Amino acid sequence: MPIQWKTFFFPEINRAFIFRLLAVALSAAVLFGFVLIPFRIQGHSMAPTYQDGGFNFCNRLRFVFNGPQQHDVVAIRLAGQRIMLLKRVVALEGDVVEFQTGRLFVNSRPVEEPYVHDPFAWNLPPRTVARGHVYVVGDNRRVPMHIHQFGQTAIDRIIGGPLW
Amino acid sequence: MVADKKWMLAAVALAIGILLFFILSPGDAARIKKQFEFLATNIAKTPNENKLIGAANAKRIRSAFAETITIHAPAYDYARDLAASELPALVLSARASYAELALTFYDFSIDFPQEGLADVRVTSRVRGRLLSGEAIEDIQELHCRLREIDDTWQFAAIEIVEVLEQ
Repeated sequence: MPIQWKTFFFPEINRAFIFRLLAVALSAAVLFGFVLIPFRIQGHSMAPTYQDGGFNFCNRLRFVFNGPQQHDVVAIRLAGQRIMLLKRVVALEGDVVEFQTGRLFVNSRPVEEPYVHDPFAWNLPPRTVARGHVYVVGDNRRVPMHIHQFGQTAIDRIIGGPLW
Repeated sequence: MVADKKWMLAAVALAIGILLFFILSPGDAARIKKQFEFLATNIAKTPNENKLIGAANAKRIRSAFAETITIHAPAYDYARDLAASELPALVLSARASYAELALTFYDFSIDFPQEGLADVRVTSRVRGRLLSGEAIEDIQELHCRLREIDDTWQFAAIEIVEVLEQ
């Protein structure tokens, strides 16, 4: 084994090595604890875009400079960050949202949603998104409306978006 | 040198003492979390659960609640004051439609607005299977108010927060 490889895999444990090790551990703790939070997708609410059992990271910096926009996928916190809802923003504050036989309308205009396949015939009367809120829906509309969790949520509940 | 050792031993003994104190006498937050665990354990249902054990668990739940409990679920337009004595029957009838049920609590945030009163924000997750075989999963944010009565934290109010408002 070349000497460089040997020192790479079996480094001498000295003060510099311990310092490097601590720096790497601390950086990883900060990165994966506060910036890119790893999570596993459970459920079919965002299928087919995000499948049940998939793995991703919640990018906490995603909406730091620009708030969430229409069609962005967002992570919504509940009491904390261990359980989050993954949904897609379909309308922003002040917009009027409605569903007519499965078709989404925002401000009375139909919205193209290439990520939705074979939607169920949802019918939802028009409603205005409140100030400081966005309207979110999952991509999986193949189910009846009453068993799909969707609606408007406060922007301060959005803690980031999936990394990919 | 001997004096140094004595000081060291005294410091270690003190540290162990402090650690034991915290382990053996859990604070209010730990006791509140235990009440949530108690609730989860007694609501849970296994596929081959004995009916008598199920009934006993449902009855045991009563001890975790104050005499009157306020339940509020704005999303379902539901608000009601329940007597704790009504709870076992309600829990039993709710569990009856499930073949399997598990309840887990995450992300506790506990405030003590005044002595003997605790406000808890928590995420609850119910997973299970109906008798028909259909899998169910429900995630909610809960705001719970607990009162300390006779040295026991008891649920006095539960609100299901409407995170997504249609």
